[in-house]
Amino acid sequence: MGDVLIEGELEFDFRKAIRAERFDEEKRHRMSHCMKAVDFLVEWPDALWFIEVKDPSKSSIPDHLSNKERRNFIERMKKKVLFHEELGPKAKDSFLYLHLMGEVPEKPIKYFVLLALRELDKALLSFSARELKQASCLIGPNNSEWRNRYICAAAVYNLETWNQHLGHCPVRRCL
Amino acid sequence: MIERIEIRKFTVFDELETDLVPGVNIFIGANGTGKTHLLKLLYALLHPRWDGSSHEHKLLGVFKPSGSHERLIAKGEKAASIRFQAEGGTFQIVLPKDPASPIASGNLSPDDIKPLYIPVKEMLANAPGFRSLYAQRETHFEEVYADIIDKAFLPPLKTIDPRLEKSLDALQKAIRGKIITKNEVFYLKTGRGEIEFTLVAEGMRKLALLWLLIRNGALEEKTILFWDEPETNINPSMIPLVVEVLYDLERIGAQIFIATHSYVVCKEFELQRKEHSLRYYSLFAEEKRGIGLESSEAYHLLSPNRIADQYGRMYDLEIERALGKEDG
Repeated sequence: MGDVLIEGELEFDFRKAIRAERFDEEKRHRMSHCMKAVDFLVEWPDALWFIEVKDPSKSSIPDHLSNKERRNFIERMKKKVLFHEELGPKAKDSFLYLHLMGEVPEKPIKYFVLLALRELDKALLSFSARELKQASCLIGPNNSEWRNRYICAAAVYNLETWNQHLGHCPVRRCL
Repeated sequence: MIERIEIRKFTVFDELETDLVPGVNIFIGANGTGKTHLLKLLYALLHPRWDGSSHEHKLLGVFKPSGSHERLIAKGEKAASIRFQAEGGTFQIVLPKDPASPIASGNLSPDDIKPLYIPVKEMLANAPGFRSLYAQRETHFEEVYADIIDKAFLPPLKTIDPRLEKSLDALQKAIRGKIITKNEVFYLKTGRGEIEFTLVAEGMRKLALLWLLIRNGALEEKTILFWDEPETNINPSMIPLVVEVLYDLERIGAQIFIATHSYVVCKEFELQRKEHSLRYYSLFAEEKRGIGLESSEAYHLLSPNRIADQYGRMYDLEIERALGKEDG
């Protein structure tokens, strides 16, 4: 069953989906001591989405800290730590978890990351998607295609492009 | 430094006016929106002494129209005029449609202004013989090519401005050697011998040119630099270095004008900006009104922006692919 899911200040309307659930919760994901997990799993008739939300611009951070928080975040992006130590492992572990639980569906799995950062223009989102694919093992310099099914697509959005492309499940900031 | 320009009825421009920043001015726009014309125009007018005939001469040399200055006046117009305001005065020139010479007026002293134009094509490798050829024969090379070779051949300074030493070192590291000249031929002198410039990669030659110009004082605090498409032939990985060097020049007082099609150039200036003065200008064709201009201090606020549009289009296609059935 679809649902409205909330991550921090961001509210996602997944009511049109077949299923929308928080994945990184204790009662759902029982291996959090050793495996990372994406925020949401959202199932549609033709695909399963892994969704990870990063919101370094949230207003609940006091002003004097918010610049620092954003700078830290951008620094983590620049050094690629964000992709290789966080976003990539989350996708890999989530897939492994579903696989070991026998929950990998017979439909394509796609990994979508929302980076709610207004500095990110479409060119930078595009570069980020490439980094995300590498960090999530979708592509690599010497990697021919996996023989078994794995995540088949990845993309990075900001708030604006999310709503532009994913109008059937909009996101909004609620203060 | 130039503070403001007003252009009427000159080539593609109908009416164009804008304030400029003392530091880095970056012009973007589709092909044919006048970026190069604007750079060349300012360069040509700043170049000679302030009297009408020498301006005409320089304009004709830099633009190489097939005929007189009348070819530079917008179609169907009676005269073109250009006015600019610079530190310490104003300058104005009118190009009349009849064969009379242009009329220049103003109170600007040219002594403190050193214009320098780096054209798109790299010319050092073609330097041997080019100068004498250019001086003696009628060629169809715009004068900016002869000018930049002359500037490159200036002898090195005895002492370098210490504020530019870091830039020189960084450039020398990037080109992995020193540049020397023998009989009008440039060589890159490396640990493994001397390589003639025709055998050096074109991107390297552009960095080498930058090094030469700083080393011989052609690029210094009083310079107004016009650089048409710095990205040409330079790998994007070298752009951060180019921006670093240009910001070093900006910091000591040089004013810089760049025309570019490159996202990497635009964005790198924004990412490296600290206290620097930087502004972006977008030139665009307007229906029936010639060329329009918008400007912004922040790259992401610049609109229209044909470079961003193109990345936007590719991003949108990528997302459509990721959302579609096929792998993406």
